[in-house]
Amino acid sequence: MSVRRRQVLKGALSLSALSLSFPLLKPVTGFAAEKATAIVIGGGLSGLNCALLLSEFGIDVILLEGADRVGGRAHTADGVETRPEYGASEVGRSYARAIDLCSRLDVELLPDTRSLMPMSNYVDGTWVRSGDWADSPVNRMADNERELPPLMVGMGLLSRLNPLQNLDDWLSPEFAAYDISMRELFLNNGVSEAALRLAAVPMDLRMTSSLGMMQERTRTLFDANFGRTQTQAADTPFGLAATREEGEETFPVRTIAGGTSRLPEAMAAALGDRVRLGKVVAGIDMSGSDAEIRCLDGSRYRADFVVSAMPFTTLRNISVSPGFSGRQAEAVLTLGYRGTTRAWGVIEEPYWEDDGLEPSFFTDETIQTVVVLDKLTGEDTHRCSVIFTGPSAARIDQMPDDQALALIESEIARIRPSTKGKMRFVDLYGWRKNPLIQGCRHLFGPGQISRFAKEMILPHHRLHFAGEHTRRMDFGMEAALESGERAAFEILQRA
Amino acid sequence: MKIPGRLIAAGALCAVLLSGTAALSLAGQDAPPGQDAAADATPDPRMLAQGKRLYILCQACHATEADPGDKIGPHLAGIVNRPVASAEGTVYSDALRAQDFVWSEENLDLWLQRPAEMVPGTSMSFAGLPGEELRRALIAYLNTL
Repeated sequence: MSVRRRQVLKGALSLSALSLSFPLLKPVTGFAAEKATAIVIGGGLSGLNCALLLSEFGIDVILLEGADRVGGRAHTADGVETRPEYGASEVGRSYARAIDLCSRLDVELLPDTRSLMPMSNYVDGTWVRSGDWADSPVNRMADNERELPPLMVGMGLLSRLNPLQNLDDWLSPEFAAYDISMRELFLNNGVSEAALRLAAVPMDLRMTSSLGMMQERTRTLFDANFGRTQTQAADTPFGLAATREEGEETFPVRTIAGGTSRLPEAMAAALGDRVRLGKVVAGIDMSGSDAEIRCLDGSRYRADFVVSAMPFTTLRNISVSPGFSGRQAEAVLTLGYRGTTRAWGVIEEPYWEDDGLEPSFFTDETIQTVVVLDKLTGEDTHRCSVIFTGPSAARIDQMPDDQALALIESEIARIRPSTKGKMRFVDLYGWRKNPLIQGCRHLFGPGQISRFAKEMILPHHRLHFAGEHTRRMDFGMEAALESGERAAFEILQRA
Repeated sequence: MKIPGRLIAAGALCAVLLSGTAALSLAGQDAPPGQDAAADATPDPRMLAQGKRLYILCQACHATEADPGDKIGPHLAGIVNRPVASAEGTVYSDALRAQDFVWSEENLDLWLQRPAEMVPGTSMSFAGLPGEELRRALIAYLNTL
């Protein structure tokens, strides 16, 4: 490629200039910059997809990943009993890119057979079975809100108020009035104080843009109805359906055989030695005729184009020259991120047979949600998971993992004594504690979509942006893949 | 067919979605005056190469050969002048099945500006391709399938 030939010349020029200016400095031979046409920083699904697409089009690419593994938030805990998914687990019906990649890379997809067992509620210190909730005296919500299960109050109310039709409507100025906090939206629409309180358990209503969450509901609804003739409900807790449909579906929801990590691993294998692990980036200098990337270990890379496939929480730590300005700078520095922390376990004995409550439960106390899954085919125990999102994750994350796990066990035993000795925990993982990610996902704050959602993904000199936070139409794993495709597309138009 | 009234606004939005680079970079590569891919049996190879690069936006959903494999959208072999919603083995939206037209180059151009504007309720989740030149290049490539 002509660009690279020019680069070699330029490289030679700058080297001689350097030795003229600093005749006493000896070049450190081990740290000569390695050159590529494009450097992708971040080996999650977005960066891997971007690098794969670029290399398919003949672009010479190197991918730098800070961790000692690829996959980012696609992370199967292989060494742990029951092999939990720390992050992404579901391949939606309409996840075109994920499905296509699995097909091309011989990664097997299996129908998602996980099924959520019914959920009782522990609210204001009182147990209420799911079927009794709507008429329970503990349920102080308004008449038109009472039927919403406590865990789904926020999402249920948001779905009712969601005006979005198309997957990209959230970026249209037409809907900017919805770029307000969920609390403000709910107050404006006469939501009861009791509903506000329950809605605030799994999510921080003050910090969350209604418009951002509406995009997700619209995308989830699109997926729920993809390839089907009957309209489906989209509001399910954590994407877990209480019942999976019987029979053959053209587009079932699926999971990746052997764990979600198999997909990024296959993508990295296809890229071969172009993937470099353990490369934490310190700086990106684009002030010269190309871009130079410096890593903490002193290694350097030069490229015509750079892709930031990192979350902004990580990009914030990198020295970028010329620096970001205006609304893009505001986005890099202030885009919100949210944590999710989960504990995984197995049920030794069905404790629900002792207390007459349902297996799964929601609480408005420390333990936010316990989900119990139906026995998977071929397994003789139920799996369970304690899920903390948003504010409840932020609280539990203040403790070291072993203390958090001990507290989770004692709290569950305190509010539901029948579980004592019958739940055994095997692992805990919190995404906010991952130093290279610092959250399980981005979360636009009120007003942030209007201020910078469009500007934040525009190329900055030679730097392009990918990552789930730069999605335009998609959700989940597919959002990461979508963003990597867009960044590759942008570079192909320039290279 | 109804001519969508919001196409101009939609085009402006798409330009932001795909970032401005695509539109800018083609400014110098416009087809020579008078050249029309539709009429010309041998379209400009540069335009075809550009169309092939643009197909990066399509390839996850659409196979270029008649076997769709695991892809979730219809294959695009022989797409130009194919009747709408007619590929075997594809589950189309009700909205698209209710249509009655062929994928002429004009219809493809309208579709690619913003599918949801041309056929509201389509299950094709593609925002649209800004820039007439880009669409012309892509359609020239589609014509080779």
